[in-house]
Amino acid sequence: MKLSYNWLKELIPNLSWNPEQVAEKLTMSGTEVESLHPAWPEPEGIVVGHVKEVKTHPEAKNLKVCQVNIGQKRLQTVCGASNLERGQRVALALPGVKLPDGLEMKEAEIKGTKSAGMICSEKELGIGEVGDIILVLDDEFVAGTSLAEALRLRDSILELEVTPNRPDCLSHIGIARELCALGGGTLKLPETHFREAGIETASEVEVEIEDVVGCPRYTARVIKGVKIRPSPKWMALRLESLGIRSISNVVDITNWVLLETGHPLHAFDYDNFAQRRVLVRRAKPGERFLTLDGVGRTLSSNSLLITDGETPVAIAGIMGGEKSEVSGSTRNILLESAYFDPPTTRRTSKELGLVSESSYRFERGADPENAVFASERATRLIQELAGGEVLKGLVDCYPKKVAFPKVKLRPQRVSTVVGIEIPKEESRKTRR
Amino acid sequence: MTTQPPDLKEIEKEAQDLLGECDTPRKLEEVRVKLLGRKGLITGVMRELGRLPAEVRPAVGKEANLLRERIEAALAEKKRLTSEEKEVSEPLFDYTLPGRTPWLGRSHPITQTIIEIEDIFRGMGFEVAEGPHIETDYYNFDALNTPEDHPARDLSDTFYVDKGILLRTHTSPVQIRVMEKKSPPVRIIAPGLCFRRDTPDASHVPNFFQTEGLYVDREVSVTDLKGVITAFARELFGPKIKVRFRPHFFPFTEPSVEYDFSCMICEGSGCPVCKRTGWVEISGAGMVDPEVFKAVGYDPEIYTGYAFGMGVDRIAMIKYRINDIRLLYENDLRFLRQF
Ligand SMILES: [Zn+2]
Repeated sequence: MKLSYNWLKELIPNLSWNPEQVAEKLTMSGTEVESLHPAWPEPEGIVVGHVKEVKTHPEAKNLKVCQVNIGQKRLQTVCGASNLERGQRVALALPGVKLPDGLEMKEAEIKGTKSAGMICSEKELGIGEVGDIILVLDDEFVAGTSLAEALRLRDSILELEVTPNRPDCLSHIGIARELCALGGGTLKLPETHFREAGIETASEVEVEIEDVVGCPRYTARVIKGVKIRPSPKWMALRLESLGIRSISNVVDITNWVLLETGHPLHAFDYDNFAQRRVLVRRAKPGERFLTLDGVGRTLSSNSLLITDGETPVAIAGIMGGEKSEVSGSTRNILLESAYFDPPTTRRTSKELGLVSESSYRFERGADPENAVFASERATRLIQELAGGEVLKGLVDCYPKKVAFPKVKLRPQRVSTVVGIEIPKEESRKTRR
Repeated sequence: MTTQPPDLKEIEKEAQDLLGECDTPRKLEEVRVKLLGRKGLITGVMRELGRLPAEVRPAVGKEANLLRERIEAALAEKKRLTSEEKEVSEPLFDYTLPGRTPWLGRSHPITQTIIEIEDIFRGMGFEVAEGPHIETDYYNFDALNTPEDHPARDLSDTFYVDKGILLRTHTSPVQIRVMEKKSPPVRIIAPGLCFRRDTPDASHVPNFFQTEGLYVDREVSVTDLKGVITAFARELFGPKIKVRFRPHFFPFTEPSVEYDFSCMICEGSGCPVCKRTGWVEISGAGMVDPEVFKAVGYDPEIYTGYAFGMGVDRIAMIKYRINDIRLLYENDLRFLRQF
C-alpha cells in the first residue's frame, strides 16, 4: 500500500518525524516500509505565471506572443498551445531550468521575436499524460509562487507491506493512529461537517438486507443535484501519486475516503435505481452482470449483490456495475457505506478472479463501526467539491450489531512469553 | 707334468654354500669376487685346465665351463633377487613427478551450509528431524492455524499435487509431525526442501531450502529465542555480527518477528547487497501460537515454545558471497568446484 507523507502530516499536525524517520518507526513496529521516494519530480525554477497579454506572432499565425507576470517581473514568451488565453494562470519554466524530460530552457529568438522560458504542459512537467495543451492552473494561485508549492508536489510516497492481521493499517488514518501510538503526535481527524436539506433520506430510499451474514450493515445517503466535473488538481495529483487514476470529483472522493479512512464506499447514479430502494441479496446461480470494467460476469449463489430491488447494480464490496456508474450526466447520487463479511467477499473475489481496492479491504476485515464516519467524510467532500443537496439523515440498516471480541491480557502470561518482567505502569502506557 | 683334475663337484658345493649366504648386493659382490674374480675359485679352475693331461682336458674343460655358466646364472639370479637389482630390472619410474589427482566429489555449498547449521544447533542441544516433501493441507496449513479462508494463505502460492495434497511450502509441517509423536521438551531443527510458485529471479526459485527450528518446554520465552538466534549468528559469521528483530505476522506464531543479520559485506554501512540498509533479512520466527499447541494436544497453559525459520540458500549466499540464488540450483560444475 502507498502512503503520502503530506497526508499523514495533515492527520498528525504535530508530527515531528521526517519521512525517513516515519519509515524507520513503521518498519520497526511491524509494518515494513519497502520503499520511500518523492511523489513527483520537483524541478526548481518552475513558477506560476499570470498571462497578461496574448498577441498573434507577426511571422507565424499558429504562434502567440505572451506577456507573463511572474511576480516581481514580466517575461515575454512565445507559445504554440491552442488553449492559451489571456488571464490564465500557467506553469512557466524559467530560462536555465531543466525539465524532467531533460529539455533545458534558454532565452531564444523565435522567428525574430524574443522568447524567454516556456509555458508547460502536464506531460512536460512530469505530472500527467496530457501533452498537447498547456496546464491551466486555478485562478487562486499567486503569480511567482513556485509550482511545487502551489500544487503541493513536494511529497514523499511510502510503500508499505501491511501484514494480513492488520487491516486497520490499510489507510492513512490507520497508519497515522499507529504513528501516534508510537509517540509521533496527536491524531486530528478530518472535517466531516456538512449541511442537510430537503426531505428525509428515509422517504427517498428504503434499504433491505436479505443476507445479514454477508452484509451485516448497509448505510445510504442521497445527495441531489451534484455537478460532476474533474477534481481539483491537488486531489487528482495526490490520488495519482498513490496509484489511483483521477476520474471525476465524486468518484475521486470515494477513492480519497477509502485511502483516508480505509473504508470502501460506492457512489451510484441514483436515477438508475428504478425501484427507489436497495436490496442486498445473493445472486441467482448463473446470473449475469456487467461490471464497470466492461467485463460481463457469470455469478454463482456465493456472490452477494446490491440491487435496486430487482436489477443488480454492484457485486457487494467488490465492484460496481457499468450501468449505474457515476458519469458526466449524473445529477443524483446514492452513497453506499456498508460492511461486508470477509469470507463472503473473499469467496466471490476468488471465484471471479476480481480484486479491487475495496475487495482487498473487505476480505481482510473492515470496521463496521467506521461506515458512518466514512459516509460523513465523503458527503462533506461531495458537498464541497460537487455541490448538491444532502437529504436529511442517514439510512442505516444494521439489524444485529457485529460483536467485538474482548481480549484479556494477563500480565503474568506476558512475562512468561516475553521472558522479562514488564511493569504494570509501562504496560498500561503502551496500550493507551 | 700332470695334475689331478679338480673336484668340480666339491667346488660347486662350496660355491652353492657361498651363494646361499649372500642376501645383500654388497655380499653378493664379495661372493662374485670369490668365485669369478681374478683369484676366484672358478677362475682358478679354468686357469688350471691348461695343466691337465690332454686326454682329460676336453671333458673336464667342458664340465668346468658348464659349472661356470651355472655359477654365473646363479649369481645373476641372486642379483635380481636383491633389491638393487630389482629396481633396475623394472620400468623406469620417477618418484619426484607430481601425482595424477583422482577426481574427488565434494559437497554442494547448500549441503555444506546445512551441515554447518546442523553442527551449530546440535551443539546447543537440538536434534535433527525430517518430514515429507509431499504434504497434506492439514500439516502445511490447517494445523498451523491457517484455515482455508485465512488471508495468510495468500502469502504462499502453493503447488497442489491433488485436492488437499501439496508440495510443502515451508518446513513448518515438521513441527506438527514431531509434536504429534513426542511430548515436551522438544528441541529440533528440520532442514529441507520447500516449494512455492515463484518465477525464478536473482532472489527467488520455485524450490528452495529452509531450516525449521522448534523448542517447546515450560517457560520458553522470547528472550530464549533472541538468545539462540544471536548465538547461532555469532557462531556462523563471527562475534561482530548483529541481529535485529522486527515485529511481523505469521498465523502460527504470536508474537511473530522477522529477523535480520547485519550485512557482512559492508558491516552495516550500506551496500547493494543489503539494499543500502545495512541489514540482510534472514527469515521469520516467533512464539508458537496456542492454536498450534491445541492442534497437537499440548496444553498451552503449561508449555510455551519458540519456532523459527531460516533461509538456507540465503545463508549460503551471504556466507559464500553469491549474488544470484539460481546459481545454487543450476549445478554448473565450474561454479560448484569453487566451494
Ligand atoms: Zn551491505
